[in-house]
Amino acid sequence: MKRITTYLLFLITYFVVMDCQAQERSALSPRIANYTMEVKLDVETKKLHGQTTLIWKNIGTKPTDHLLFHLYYNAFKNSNSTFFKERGFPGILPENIDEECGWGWTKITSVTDPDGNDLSMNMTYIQPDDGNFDDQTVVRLALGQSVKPGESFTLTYEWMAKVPKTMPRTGYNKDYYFFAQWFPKVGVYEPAGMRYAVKDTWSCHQYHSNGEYYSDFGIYEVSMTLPENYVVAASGRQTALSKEKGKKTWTFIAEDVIDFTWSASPQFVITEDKYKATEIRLYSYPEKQVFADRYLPILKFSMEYLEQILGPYPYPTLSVVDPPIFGLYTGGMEYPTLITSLSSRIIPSGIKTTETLVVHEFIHQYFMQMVASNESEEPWLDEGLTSYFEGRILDAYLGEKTSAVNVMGLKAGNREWNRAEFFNSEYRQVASNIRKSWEYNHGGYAPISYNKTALWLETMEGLLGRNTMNDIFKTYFEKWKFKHPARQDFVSIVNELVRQNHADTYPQGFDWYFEQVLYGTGLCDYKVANISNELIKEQRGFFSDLEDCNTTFQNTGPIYKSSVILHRLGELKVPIEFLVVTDDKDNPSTVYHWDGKERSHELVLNGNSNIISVTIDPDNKLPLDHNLLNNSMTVSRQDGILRSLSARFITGFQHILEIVSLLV
Amino acid sequence: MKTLQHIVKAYKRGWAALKLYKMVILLVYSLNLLLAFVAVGPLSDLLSSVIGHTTLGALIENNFDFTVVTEIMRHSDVGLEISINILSSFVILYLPWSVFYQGGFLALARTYPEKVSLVEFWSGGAIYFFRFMRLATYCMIIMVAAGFLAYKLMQIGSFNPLQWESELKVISTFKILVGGIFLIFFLVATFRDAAKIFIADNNSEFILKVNIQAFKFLLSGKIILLAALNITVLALVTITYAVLRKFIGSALIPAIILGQMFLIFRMMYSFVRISSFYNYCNNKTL
Repeated sequence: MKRITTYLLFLITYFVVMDCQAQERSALSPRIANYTMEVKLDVETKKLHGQTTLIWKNIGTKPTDHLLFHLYYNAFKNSNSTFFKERGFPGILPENIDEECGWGWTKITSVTDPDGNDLSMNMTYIQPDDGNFDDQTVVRLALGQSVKPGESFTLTYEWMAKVPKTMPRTGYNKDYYFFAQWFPKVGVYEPAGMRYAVKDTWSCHQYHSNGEYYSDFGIYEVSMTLPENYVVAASGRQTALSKEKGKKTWTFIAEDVIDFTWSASPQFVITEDKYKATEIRLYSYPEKQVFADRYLPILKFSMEYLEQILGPYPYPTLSVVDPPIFGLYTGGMEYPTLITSLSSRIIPSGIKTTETLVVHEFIHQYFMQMVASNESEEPWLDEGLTSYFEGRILDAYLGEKTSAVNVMGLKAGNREWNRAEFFNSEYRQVASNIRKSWEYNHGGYAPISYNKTALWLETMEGLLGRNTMNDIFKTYFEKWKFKHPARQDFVSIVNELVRQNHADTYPQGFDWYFEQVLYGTGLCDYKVANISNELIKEQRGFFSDLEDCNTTFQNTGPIYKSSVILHRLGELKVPIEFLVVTDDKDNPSTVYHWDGKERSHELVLNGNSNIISVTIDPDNKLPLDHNLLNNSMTVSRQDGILRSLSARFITGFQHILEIVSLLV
Repeated sequence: MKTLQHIVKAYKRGWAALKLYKMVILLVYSLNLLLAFVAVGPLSDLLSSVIGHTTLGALIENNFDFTVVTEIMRHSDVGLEISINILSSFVILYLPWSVFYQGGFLALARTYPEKVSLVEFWSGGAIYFFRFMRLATYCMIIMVAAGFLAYKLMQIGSFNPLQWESELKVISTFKILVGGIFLIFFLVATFRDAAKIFIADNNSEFILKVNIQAFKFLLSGKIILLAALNITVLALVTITYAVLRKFIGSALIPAIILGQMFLIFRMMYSFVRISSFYNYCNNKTL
């Protein structure tokens, strides 16, 4: 018996050691902030009681004697928070927020260091961004000791949170709960030289109306206890489920992620699928389970698409929460290994918001989750890149003219839609891309961070070709996955690859482009200003005989001097192509190039043919051009087409008149 | 059974009367075409100035192109606004003309089986115009009120999705209310056309009394069956048109010819409807 016990102990020890080694080997990220949390949800009082052990590693170059924490739920504490001051009050609040007390808050109730010292009195709310003393979304905790570079520090704290009634991205409504930015989360300690840090510094911003988050990588082991009829969706993989006294405790582990999010509802129905080694789980309300057929195929297509271009999705799970209609504020958001989409049975299936959202949020697994840029400070670096790939994936899957809308003859592609959104926005030029998200206080956050970035990336694709774009993104991903890049890191990679792949065309790299699109606010607009065809019948004047002033040569064949004048109306200067079509039957069309720098450009052609039309950017490589109506010119009016359009309008209007007559 | 026979006979007589007055349909059609031609003129001119000398027209000639359409809208906002305002004013102008020509239709239908000159159409339109206009206004008020009531009923369930329990319930409620509105519109339109017959027969300036008679007649239910027969034929032809239109696709000439044929049918439908109502109300088929 004793020998058997010894043998068993040996085996257990062996497997534990092997498992630890395997875990160590498989670490994808630096694992700087590691959390073990036990949390209980009281569905009656809408309160969370949490106990957290945080193991935090100082990767800085100097010791630090304090930590900064986000207390995001305090954004919903009252109308004086920075969130509500920026967003406007009551704004998006539910009508009955006071009636149900839909406000929320977080409070750390006790903190102890590894020696058991109580640090509860060492906390101070700070407001690093706006000095709003009423804002309690960031707290500074003095440790009473220093954590040296390379050392880890263990902190244990208990906290409580009142869950708000669904605010943007989080909260409860009816029996649906979504927990995002829900626990006291440590900020990012940036060593000198990382991103913009000139010395070791904390990056821990308040909760703003615009903008998202920024955290360090780590391991999260989270146990959630709640009534047994609730089903839990969470980041990572489920490792345990236990039941006691009418409650269930769900345990999940998420490794190498920057955040942990979860959701719960007694009504969740799970649809499972798989892409290679990744388990996909869709959590829906029963009436929305029909959307699985729209979510899962396009999700797997996106996984394959990005795997080929960037690299494989490395996590064992991917969960999609499709919120019920009354939880719509939590829809369309990205979290590590868990995304929320949004669907509605009211919206016709030809309107592709469901597909758009799930694809967009999945792409964020790459840009912001793995390549963990600071969403709050540089929103374009995750939202813009994601919007660019959203267009590519949706156009590839649903067709470039039908990937946004395809209903009752109305069609629009995702990239087309993105372009229209940007140019229709009155805020398109109010700021450049490099603002911090909360600095878009005069508007423009979404059109500039999302739409404009996608547009200038598409234009970059037009200038460099898709292969170079793929090289750029693959290199960027490989170099910066599980790290925190800044804009210059992206720009440098572009410059490097442009010099490498397009040395002839852009030997200086692409800074000239970024100066205009990333740092500038100018518009791009090229115009065909004029076409002329002049028939030269004869030549007059002095020729060989300088005594004979009236020499006249009749041209033997029709000789034309044709010219095209192009204008640059916008501030943006990019090289352009223009197609010249002539009535020469043998060689009717030729593409010419212009560097696009001067305000105007003339092309003169002498020959036997007339120019019929000129089109700037015939292959639509320049979506940044804000006026396409002046991009082409024909010598003769397109009467046939105009007659055809008029005929259709007249017929349509006749029908409208007759429909009106039914009213009387 | 006898009632059904009467209804079918009245309906057939409606078509028979139409055979006598094909020219009036042509007249109404021509005016519709002329008005549409004039109304669309500024929009055509706008398009001509904006894309007439570009290569973009080819992209929207046969298809809807989102980018081109949004570019036109963005870069010709004032011109487009003016064009749309002109189109809207023509729609409003068409309302009294519709009242007028339906009065003319009724005047012609009343002469069946005799054939009279088209002067009757003009004089009939003029004689009934103001009474039919008042009637149409009352009926539109009822329709607007029904729409408002449906809106309010929908609002009871809240327009705020955060308060909805289930989308399916909202969709069901919406469908029921839309069905209800269509039913009300159908009944109001039936009542209105029946009232026109009573107004013409009683030749009274005050339409309230005849409206009550028409309402009682509507409640008898038989005229509803005749209206349903009319609507069914219209629906069948509309479905056929939609199928053929889809089949034709973007081919311009066949699409326009088919569209014009459908339009002419819709005008014929108006005539047949009022004529069959007249025949039925006056027991001419008995």
